[in-house]
Amino acid sequence: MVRKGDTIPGLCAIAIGALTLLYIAVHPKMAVIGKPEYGGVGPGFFPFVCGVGLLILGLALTLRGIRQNGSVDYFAMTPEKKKNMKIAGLLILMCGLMLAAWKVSEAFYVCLPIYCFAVNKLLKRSLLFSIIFTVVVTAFVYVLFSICFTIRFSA
Amino acid sequence: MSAEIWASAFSKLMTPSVFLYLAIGVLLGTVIGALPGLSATMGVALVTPVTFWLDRADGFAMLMGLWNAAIFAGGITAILINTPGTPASITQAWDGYPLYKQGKGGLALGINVIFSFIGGMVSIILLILLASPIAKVTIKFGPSEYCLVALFGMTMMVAVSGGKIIKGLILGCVGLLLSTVGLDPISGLARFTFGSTSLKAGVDFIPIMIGMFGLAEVFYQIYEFNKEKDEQEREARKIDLELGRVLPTAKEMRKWTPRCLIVSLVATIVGAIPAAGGDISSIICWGNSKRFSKEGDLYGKGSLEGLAVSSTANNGVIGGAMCTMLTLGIPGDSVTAVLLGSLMMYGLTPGYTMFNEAAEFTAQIMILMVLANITFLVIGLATAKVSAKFLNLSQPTVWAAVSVLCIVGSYCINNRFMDVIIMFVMGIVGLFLKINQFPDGPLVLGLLLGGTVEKNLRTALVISQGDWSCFVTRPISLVLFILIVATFLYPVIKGAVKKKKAVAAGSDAQ
Repeated sequence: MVRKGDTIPGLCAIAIGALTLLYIAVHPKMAVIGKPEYGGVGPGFFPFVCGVGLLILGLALTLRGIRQNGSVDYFAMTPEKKKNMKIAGLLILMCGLMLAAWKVSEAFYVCLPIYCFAVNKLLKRSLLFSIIFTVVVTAFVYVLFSICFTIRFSA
Repeated sequence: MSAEIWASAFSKLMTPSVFLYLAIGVLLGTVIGALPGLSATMGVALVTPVTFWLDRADGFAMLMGLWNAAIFAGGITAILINTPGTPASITQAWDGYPLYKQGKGGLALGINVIFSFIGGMVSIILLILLASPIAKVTIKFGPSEYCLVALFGMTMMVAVSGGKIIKGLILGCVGLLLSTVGLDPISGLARFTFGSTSLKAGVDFIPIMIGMFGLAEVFYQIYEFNKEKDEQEREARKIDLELGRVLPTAKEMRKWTPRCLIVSLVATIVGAIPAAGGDISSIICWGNSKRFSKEGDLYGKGSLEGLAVSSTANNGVIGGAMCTMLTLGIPGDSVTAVLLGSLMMYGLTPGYTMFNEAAEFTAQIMILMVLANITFLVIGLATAKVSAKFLNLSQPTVWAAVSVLCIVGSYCINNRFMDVIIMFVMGIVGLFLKINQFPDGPLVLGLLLGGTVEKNLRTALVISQGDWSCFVTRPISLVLFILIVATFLYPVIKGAVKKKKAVAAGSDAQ
């Protein structure tokens, strides 16, 4: 039941708030109250206010989630949504892999066409369309960004 | 601003490159607006990095063309497939689609272009007349006033949360927290940088916006994709009814124009209110026009007048939103939030300094808005029937193209791989937030205005030697303080009154 509704987002907000306050606590220079010449407000004041705000609001959201008692479920999965989630997840994975490959190889113009082609295949486009899309998009990016704007895509 | 500044700004804009980028912006905006799922905000966020590589005037010509055209083009899908391209086009669907089914699709598309132009032009004229005097008032602003103005802008988190106040405030706090990453504005201490040199300069908001409005939107559209609904829309596109004439007659124009001029004024005022965007404006204007019109009964069933009113109200907000953004630095809607980010990236600070130190460029922005309206009027009318063809572009093609543009666009801002990583992470975070029905507007507001609030709050306290009363002892700051308190208390009081009424009604029923 705890997985339903606003409970998880509420707990996430609490976690961010708590981590912020922890960061302030372990860094002595992040003082909440500052020297008089700094107006009595330290560099930690603003993050402290945000952290406390996140804790309070996160708690309110978690309590609402618990009170919803499973009546609200944002991740309610129909078979179609499950399939969609899988595609979205694979797209995220492809995007991540493309960035990792770019970082490691420094060969952006090798990674980009592979990514374009793979994404099109993932989205069930025909082979011919995938090839045309890959060529057109890669050429467009190369001409506009690398030739016109002289951008070097180095990670 | 003097006549010389206007003349100089105008003459510097009369170059082929400005008109070329303006036309590219209008064409891009028309495509983006005409494609359901792509918004003006996404378009401006994606194109902003490209503009950094252009001359400032050329870059803004492209952005202004895109923004103005995308708003009007949202009506194309509303008219042809009953699916508003932007939330503000909802009322255009109510009258536009029935008109299309009656065989008056061409006229509906023509009215959309012409009255969007009228609404846009009136609101920009008002912007030109009012922005400078409003900016002059800001000369009296000190750090405490700037802090409170930004804080007032942030109270709009409640308004842009669409009823999800707790979630909106959480994201607002996260945005504020992100704005504190980097060097402390007063002491210079590195905060939340975790030893990274690139984070010392702070978190760039453009990659965050591209991630939130671009990549996250693609992920979410894939997640929400409904094959049955998509097939229905495809069928609707295939019907291809007779479109008929595009231009209204002179008699029709005379009949609708006075009403639409009033609508333009109302829409400009609504647009100037932070967080009240085109959707609120079009509903307010369409609803009131229906109430006062002789042919009010026809509204929603295919009224040409109703469509003219909706189209005017849509583009009428642009000048108002821009006025609040340029003079006070408060974004009127999500598009102006992204534009505010662009201005800051160009090193410009909205307010009196912009109207004083960068007066010529400020004048150029306003002139570009006029030129953008003229350009989309010409291109829109010439391509009214052709624009329907854009709708045949399938969703997966758009998703693949947008995901590539997000990666390339976020890299181009600073040629920094870290920005692409930030954009990618924000895309995943954005998907999680969208699924959990978090409104994304407050995060942007917190991120954009957080730095201004903190810097001015602490500067004001340094000047007053730690005396917090400086925020209520000056007349302007006192007024702003009361406005902020009222904005926060209003929903609470409204809720309490509503609850009391419901209890009273319940006891009466018993």
